Amino acid sequence: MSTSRSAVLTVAVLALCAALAACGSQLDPETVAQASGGSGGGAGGAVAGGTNPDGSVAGGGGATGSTDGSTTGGSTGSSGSTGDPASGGGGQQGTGENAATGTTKAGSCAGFKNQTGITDKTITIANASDISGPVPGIFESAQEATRAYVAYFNSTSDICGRKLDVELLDTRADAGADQQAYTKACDDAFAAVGSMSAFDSGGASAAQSCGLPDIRSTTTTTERRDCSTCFAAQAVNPGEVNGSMPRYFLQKYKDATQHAAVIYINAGAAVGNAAAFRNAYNSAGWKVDYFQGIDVSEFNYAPYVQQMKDKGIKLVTYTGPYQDTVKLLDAMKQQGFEPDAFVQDSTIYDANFVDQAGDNGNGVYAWSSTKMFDDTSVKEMALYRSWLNQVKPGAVPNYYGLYAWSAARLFVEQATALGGKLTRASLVSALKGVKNWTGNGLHVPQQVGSKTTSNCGSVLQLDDGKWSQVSPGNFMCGPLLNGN
Amino acid sequence: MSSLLSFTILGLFTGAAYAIAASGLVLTYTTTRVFNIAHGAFGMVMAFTFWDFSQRQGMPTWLALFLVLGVVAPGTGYLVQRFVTRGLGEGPVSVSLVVTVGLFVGLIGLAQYIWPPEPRTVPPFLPDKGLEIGDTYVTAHQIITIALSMVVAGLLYLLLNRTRIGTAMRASVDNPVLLRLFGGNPDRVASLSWAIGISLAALAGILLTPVIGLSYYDLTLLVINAYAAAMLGRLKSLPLTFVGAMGLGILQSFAVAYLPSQGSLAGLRAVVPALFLFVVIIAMPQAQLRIGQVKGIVSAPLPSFSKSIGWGAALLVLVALLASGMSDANLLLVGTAATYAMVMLSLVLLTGYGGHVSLAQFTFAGVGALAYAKLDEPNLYGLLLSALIAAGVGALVALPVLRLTGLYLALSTLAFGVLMDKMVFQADYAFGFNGTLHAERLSILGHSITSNGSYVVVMAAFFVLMALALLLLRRGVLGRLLIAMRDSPAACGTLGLDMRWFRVALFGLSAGMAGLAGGLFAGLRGTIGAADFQLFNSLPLLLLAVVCGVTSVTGAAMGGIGLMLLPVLQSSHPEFAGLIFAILGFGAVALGRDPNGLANLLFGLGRRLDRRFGDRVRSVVPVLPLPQPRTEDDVLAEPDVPLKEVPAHVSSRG
Repeated sequence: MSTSRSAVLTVAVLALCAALAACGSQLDPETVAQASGGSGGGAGGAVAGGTNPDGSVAGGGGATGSTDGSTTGGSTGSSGSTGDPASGGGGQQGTGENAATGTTKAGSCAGFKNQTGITDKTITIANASDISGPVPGIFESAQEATRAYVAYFNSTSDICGRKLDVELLDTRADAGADQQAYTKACDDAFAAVGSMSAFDSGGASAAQSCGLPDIRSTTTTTERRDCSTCFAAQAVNPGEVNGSMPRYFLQKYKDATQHAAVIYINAGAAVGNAAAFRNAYNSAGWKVDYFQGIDVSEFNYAPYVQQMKDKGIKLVTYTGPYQDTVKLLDAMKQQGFEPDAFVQDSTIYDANFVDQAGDNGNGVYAWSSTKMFDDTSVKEMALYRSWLNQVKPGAVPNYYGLYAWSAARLFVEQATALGGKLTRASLVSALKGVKNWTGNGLHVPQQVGSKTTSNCGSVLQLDDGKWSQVSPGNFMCGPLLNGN
Repeated sequence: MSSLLSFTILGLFTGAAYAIAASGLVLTYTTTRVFNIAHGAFGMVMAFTFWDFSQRQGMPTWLALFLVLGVVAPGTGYLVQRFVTRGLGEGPVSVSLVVTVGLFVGLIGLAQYIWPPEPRTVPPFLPDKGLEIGDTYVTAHQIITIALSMVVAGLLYLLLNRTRIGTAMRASVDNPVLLRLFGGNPDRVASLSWAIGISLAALAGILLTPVIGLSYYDLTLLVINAYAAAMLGRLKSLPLTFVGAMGLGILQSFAVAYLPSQGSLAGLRAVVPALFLFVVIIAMPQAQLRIGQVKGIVSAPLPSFSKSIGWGAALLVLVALLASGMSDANLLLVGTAATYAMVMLSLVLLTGYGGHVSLAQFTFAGVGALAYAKLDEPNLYGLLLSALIAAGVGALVALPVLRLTGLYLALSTLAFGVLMDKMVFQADYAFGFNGTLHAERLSILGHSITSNGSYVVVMAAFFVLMALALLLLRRGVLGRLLIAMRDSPAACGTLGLDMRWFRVALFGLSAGMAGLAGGLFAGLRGTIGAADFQLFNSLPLLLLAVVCGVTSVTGAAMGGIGLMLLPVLQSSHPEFAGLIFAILGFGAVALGRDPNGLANLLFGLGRRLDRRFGDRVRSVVPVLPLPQPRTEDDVLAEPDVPLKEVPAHVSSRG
């Protein structure tokens, strides 16, 4: 009896705590933070860099309007959003090379034939990206960007009288799901566009065996790269390393590059990439004294920092998720380890990193192959942000989304040029000839057809929570280094 | 020398984190004999609660700490003991492991549902304070963690050894009845143990989240490392656990300092805790048999052989019909379900019949898949050889721990899974880092099975054949031995049965079945990699096996379909992704005590329907043979005289 009474009491106290949590949930976190005198968090969805130098909000051209099509279903085989042409919303309209079909001369529509994925009214393209899985929404930006471009295209154009329809497929961060998604895409879609998956090896053979043209945001595995019908707006050849970054730091921090560390997360593609980086940097004139993987379950980074101190490291490069970069920077700060430079790829060019790293992030360098997201002097960037806001108001642009947008534009321009000759085979053939693709200035020239790594990029630096480009000119280009 | 000191100091912090986590684990085990796999998951949920109170709602830190450590955590521990784990320590180890694995998965799902993914931070205590020791800077937060780990160890030692309630806690696990006779209340002391245990999990979570970040998985992974420390103290000795935790922390720190960062030894660093666990388990003394109890369960009905063949044929016809009408994408899902079902069949043998738990059954499937791809013999010979290799590996895992009982065997499979994930599968001679291997589809007697539909039918045929073989085994002498050993090892020992080698063979056979499934799966997929067989996939596998029924073939089939559908449902209803996990986890908690699971309910439903409508149906069907015996219990000797039909109203009364 007394036991049951105490159980009731415990339930009541827990219910009270739950109620406290529920009441709290009505409060805006920023209000709470301000009331507590703390910082406001500020992640807020603002992209790194926030507003333009002139104070205007990047990509704010369009009224919010209604979102075309359905929201991202994320289910394998869910019907896609079409970006209804009639309700294009208030997204910006581009002209000239920024028009939906660019300056491509449209091919004659004579002889245009309906085929898999093409009806009298629509051309269905599939986007198979990681939406659910261990990190929910990890590559949702690729799907959003593809939908954004389709909405833009459908608002003004068509290909031989057909609008675009997107079939949204979820690859669930699983090679098996990638295989299922591409098997479905083979049956339903004319091509796959803007896909992004961590385990993209699964569907490579499915795509190749049915001749499905696959224009991805980025490829992550060698199997996908080796697939003869698969391409990516960001072409990557494992083993080839962009030489312009090491050259930049060799010039700027000559002494530091002679005592460099290559640190990486001990998982996935990072391991192979880091080994290639080390070899390439050494061949570029650096001296990598410390090459170290850190396990995913590691939480105490101090011993690694101690090792770097002991070895006299002066320049640190890291390959891994930004959350772990934050841990590494914390440990470096605690141990009083201040290398001349800390460099990472554009993974850290992210508002969340800026928030979480706080002061420790000051001075870090990011290596990027894209223009800055708030650089609306690039008209295509303004278009991307505007239409992204149309399909998902408040969505934050990112690296994979940008390349997915670029992939969608590439598809549209190639398909438009082919006109009546459009088939899966003819599209693959056309894609094989694509060189120096920049997505209208969004990113460095990419060798889509030959699938070689780009040799250009820019260097950004974080200062007081704001990223700015510190490398000269538009993009620097250098040699392509062999990392094998 | 100064470098050695630096790495020792830095390792102490890691050790302190393990010590706090492990001490809660030891407390609950030593007082209730329940090894709480979900200890880290409780810490994670409490850390999220602390974040919610202190950051989102803006409560003062002291108040949030008080509420979490003093109210929510102990209250949760109390409720968990009262409604979930009560009496589990007296039951089979497999049940307590499955229930806590259920809590583990359920809590992760619950956290995802309540606190959807977004960046969250918990600031450290006294962020700008610290201490310079030689060349090393130690933050105030680290000092607090190390100090608290010592305080916790000391207080718990005093509680268990110097107080009346502590003595009662220890007595409750040795003999609760005797404790009650002496005026103690075993339930109350068990509740107290769980309340303190979950509070310690919360403390570990709150102290560690500023360092490891607030995520669903990181803390749970960390606590798995702490198992090794707890095992050094044989899950009983707090001082040895503390020594183990500190030793492990320093060992990991030294591994960073002194192991080469390149070459074959580089991978050792990541598996230091798993190796530590494996070595400690192997060094454990002979387990003592517990007498005076039969941990048996009422098994699911065993169908007659003719009925088994009938159902198997029906399943094959159904799959063949599906194969003829389904799209290739959906057929891949059916093939995946068949793979899972076959792996679950291996669990029916090991867990359902044998009473042993494997926390890494997918790893054995991975071994089979790896062997199949490497052998490059896409035929029955290659498939059989792959299964044999997996069986050999399974036997090897059981061999070093053949002196030990269920829990240690289960934990050794966990350590084995970690070692395979991080050292073997990712090695260049296996799948390679982020790499995959190509695997051809199986050919039978020279006929290559290329279409998805045909291949899926073949997979279903393998499932049916494995199931029939398993039922035959269960019906025979071996099956009866298995059940006897599961129900009362002490009785078997008394009768002179040597269970050790039998257990190794059982483990090997089960791993072989999983390996066969892995080989077939490799053929289905065409390309396979290490990511397809990650250790953590084995936990939902075990849960669904138990929820659907780990003692029956039907349960395995249902579980295979359920496990295939799980990610599909999460994908189609992303808003309920966490909730689905929570339902699965807590479903296992609810059903874990009855390993016959949903399948048994289905059988019961069938019997009820038969009682309700059977006669009516039979009366309209002109000629029907007499009903066959339905269950093993129903099996009767063939009567010498013809059976007499009994009127329906009479039989229903019986």
